Amino acid sequence: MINTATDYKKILNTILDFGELMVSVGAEINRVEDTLTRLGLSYGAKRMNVFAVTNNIIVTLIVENGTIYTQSRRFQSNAGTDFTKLEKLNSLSRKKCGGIISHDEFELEISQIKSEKSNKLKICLGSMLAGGAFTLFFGGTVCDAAAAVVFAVAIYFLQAYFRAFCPNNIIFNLISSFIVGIGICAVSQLASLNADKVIIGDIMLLIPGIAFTNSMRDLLSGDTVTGIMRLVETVIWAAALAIGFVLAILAMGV
Amino acid sequence: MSQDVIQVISAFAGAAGFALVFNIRIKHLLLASVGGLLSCVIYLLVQTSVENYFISCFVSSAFCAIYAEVMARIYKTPATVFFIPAVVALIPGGSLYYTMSYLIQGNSELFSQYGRTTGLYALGIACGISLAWALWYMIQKMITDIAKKIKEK
Repeated sequence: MINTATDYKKILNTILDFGELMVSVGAEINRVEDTLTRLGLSYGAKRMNVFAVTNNIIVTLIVENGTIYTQSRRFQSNAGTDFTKLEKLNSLSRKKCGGIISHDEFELEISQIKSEKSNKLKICLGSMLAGGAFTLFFGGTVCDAAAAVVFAVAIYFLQAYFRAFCPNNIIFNLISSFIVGIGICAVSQLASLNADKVIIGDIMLLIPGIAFTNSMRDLLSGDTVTGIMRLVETVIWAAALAIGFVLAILAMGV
Repeated sequence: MSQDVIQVISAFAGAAGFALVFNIRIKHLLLASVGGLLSCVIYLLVQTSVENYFISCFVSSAFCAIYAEVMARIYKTPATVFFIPAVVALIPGGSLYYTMSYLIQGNSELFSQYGRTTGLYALGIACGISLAWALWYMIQKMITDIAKKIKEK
């Protein structure tokens, strides 16, 4: 039975770990708030107050005897998405709320999901497929699509190994779109490809589409603050992308 | 092959590609990609009959939202898993590129034309999914409420 103050403090910390992980794998904020509330209630809280935005979560847990615990968590806002982890977190919270697993098992599974490495080959192949397919989709030739596939691999490597060095997503989008833009323009001039179609295909890989639709969902569900934060973020990220490509095109004179 | 057929096939492949990038479970891959194919087919059908970007995007994105919610109920996953791959083909990557390209070239006429198209696309997608979600939640709530009342009786 949980009854000491230390227990509740630890529980609150675990709940925040769970929330942070949910945001980082691409869950909408209203889902995060809803899930954390359910988790808290499953631990026997009388009342839960959860306020989450894209880079901060505050949780207040009120216990039956009237004691109030509050903790907050600040983290870096990112546009990462991992459907497998999202699904696992979803079913984990269902298990916890259904009372199937204990607190220790819950904590263990969180750290397991957190440390899970994603399949790099799968993501790389996905980037190649998406880049090539969208070049064809927007009217490119087969040669254009082949070039887009090659640069999709470049984007994958930038995302996998270069992102960690960037202070935030704005800088990353700006630099990576500039590098990729220069490469595409150079190759297109050499091999007389349609540089515009290749860029359009590969731009799709960098556009923050999930963040945009999540912001719509948040705005619609009444989380105006989060929705506007996400929306402004996506617009800035997209602008950074556009500026990066524009600079590359200007530099190469295509 | 006509451009439409190429678009439908590449929308399917593109949706599969994005699903993989977002590390989807392989068992959901096919249905997520089919969502992309269907959304492209619906977009093209509406586009040929009404010839209005806004309305085609609106109808097609509303379809994506409903498709994702239905699949999410069946497979007990968050709806995002099916929604993102389906809607990705509607993202106006092409017109966004031309908007910024005409901006650099200083062609203000084409810039404003493409800028308006991009804006209409984004607005159409946003309105479509918003309306579909709102209706979906309303209907869901009505059904659960009615079920509860029947149980009480």
